[in-house]
Amino acid sequence: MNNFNLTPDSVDVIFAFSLYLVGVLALGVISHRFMQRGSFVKEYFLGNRGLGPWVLALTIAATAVSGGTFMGFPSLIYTNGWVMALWIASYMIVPLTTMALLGKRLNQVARISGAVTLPDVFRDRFQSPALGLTATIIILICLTVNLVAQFKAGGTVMMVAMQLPPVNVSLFGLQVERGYLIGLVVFAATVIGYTAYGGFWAVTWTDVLEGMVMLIGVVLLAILAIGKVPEIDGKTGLDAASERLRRINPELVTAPGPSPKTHESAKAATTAEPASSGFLPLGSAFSFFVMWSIIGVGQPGGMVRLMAFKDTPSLRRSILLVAGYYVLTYIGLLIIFICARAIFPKEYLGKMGDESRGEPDSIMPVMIRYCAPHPLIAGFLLAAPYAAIMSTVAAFLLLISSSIVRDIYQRMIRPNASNKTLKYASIGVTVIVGIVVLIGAMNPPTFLQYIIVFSTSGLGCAFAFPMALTIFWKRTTRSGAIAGMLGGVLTVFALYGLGWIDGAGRMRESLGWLPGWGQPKFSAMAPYNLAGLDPLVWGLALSCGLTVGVSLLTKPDETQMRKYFPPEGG
Amino acid sequence: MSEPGRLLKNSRLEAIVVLTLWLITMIWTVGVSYWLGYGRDPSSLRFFLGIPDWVFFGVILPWAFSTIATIIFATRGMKDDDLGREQESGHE
Repeated sequence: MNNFNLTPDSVDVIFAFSLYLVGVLALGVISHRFMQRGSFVKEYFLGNRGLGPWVLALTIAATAVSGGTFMGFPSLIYTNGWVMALWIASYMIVPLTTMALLGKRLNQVARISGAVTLPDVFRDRFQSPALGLTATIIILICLTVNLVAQFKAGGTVMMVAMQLPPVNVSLFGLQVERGYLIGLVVFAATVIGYTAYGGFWAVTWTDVLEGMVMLIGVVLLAILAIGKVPEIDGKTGLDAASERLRRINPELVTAPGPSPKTHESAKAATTAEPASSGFLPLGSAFSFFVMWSIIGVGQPGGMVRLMAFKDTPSLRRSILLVAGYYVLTYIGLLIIFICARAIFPKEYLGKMGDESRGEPDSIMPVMIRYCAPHPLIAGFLLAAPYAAIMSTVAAFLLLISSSIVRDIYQRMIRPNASNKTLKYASIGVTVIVGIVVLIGAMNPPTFLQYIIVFSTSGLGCAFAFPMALTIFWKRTTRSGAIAGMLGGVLTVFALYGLGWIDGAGRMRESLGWLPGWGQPKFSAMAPYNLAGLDPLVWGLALSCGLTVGVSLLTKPDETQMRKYFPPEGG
Repeated sequence: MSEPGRLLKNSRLEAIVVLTLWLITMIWTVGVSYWLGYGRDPSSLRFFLGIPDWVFFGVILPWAFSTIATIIFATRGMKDDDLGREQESGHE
């Protein structure tokens, strides 16, 4: 372990970064003390349904804004230019669809049944352990896969922040880059520590801090980035940036954006055929509008928070706050990375295609290092993507451990477990899950963005329609809900699986009859887009159709129907 | 009308309003961007504060519209309802 010397800049960066970490840990400890007596499980996993407007808003926003937003999204803007405004546009309606659509009624249903987790709601509404277990397993699979990708992003940011000279170390027979390993362990220890110790309150309170750090970071970086764009033809700022993009490649300022062959990531494309369309053909533009606004409805992290707010004025105020938050974050990120492309016309492009660790997503830390007037500010700005990843990871860790402790252990194995047993089980499971994911991320998967989109789509297609229909349509039956859940998630799995088979160049003959089979793609990991639409559109359609269709063919449980759907005339 | 019944009725109505707004913004955003931005001749583009015109009309303007709609919805549209008391006899 030689060559551990840090540059003076890096010392400053790490100092600012450490201040942030200390703040997060302190909040975790304080919230542990805040935990009240009474039902441990409800307090640890749901904060006893006491979220007010500010905490609700920031915890929802900070959970939704993840490693993908701060690492994958910037590299896509840098590569594809202004068309990314259309890619992300549906965040304009996300506060309404993900909070106002289900929020009030879901909270009421959860109170009627005493539900603590998302599977609880399904299980109690239909009195069906099988349905609860199906939901639990879907959550466990999708979130664990997603967590590995988020951990990788966390380790990468830390590695860039420290800028250690690259040295490989051997660990359990694996070759791991030293900076990445240190970053990963610091990241994991912090987030596992505060999540396990403080539970839901720690996760939501740190979300408030992390949410503020992200917001201030993005706004500050946007202002700095605009000032750094070199003048052209008397134009300055964003004007100059757009003019430079137009000269680099006119496709960067029009839709559907650059085609695979016109940027260097074409290496990842499967054939040398000219591409038929740009980055975001019309079908994809529609798919991504549905992605953020409707897939977002079915995310367990968001739904659990909707089960936890205190009263309806809190919900209404937090919708306003979240709307403002998303405007600043997403418009800010767009501006920053349009400017980044103007400042670095192609320096970071060549690395985009090969998807090796840290490189495709390095533009965010690079811009921070370039724009920050002082290393202390760079350290603070680097804490922003780190905070984004941390808040998402903490929420997912807690969801996974609630699935194991609450949905499986307490509800299926030992219903009479004491509060003390549950407390140790919860803390222990949270730590163990964290360590398992940490080991998975030591030898990290590539294709960060695809893994995140894949698991998010799976969850959204499994839960958005079955949940909406379960709480609003009294005719929904348990068979309908199971069919809708499985139909949605399996459609997504199947279309991604087909995409990987196609990406590997296999079965060209036997599946050649499928429309679009064997066409050039942006990555070998991209899914198979049936009729030009993303798997999530098919998953949602099938999930909705199956929930309604199977429900109509089966008989509803009258007792449960009366319990959850009181007569309106009474 | 019983209180839980009122919440159900209000939240169904609110859900319909949200889905309608979703449909309007989806058609506006995807439609206008397709109309003005797809296959556009780059030399005919105009820029407002550095934003290409098709992004301005297809993304920024509907975003402003939805923000106003969200403000009206959250301050005046959405009703305050009693969420009911926790079922303590459950599995605690």
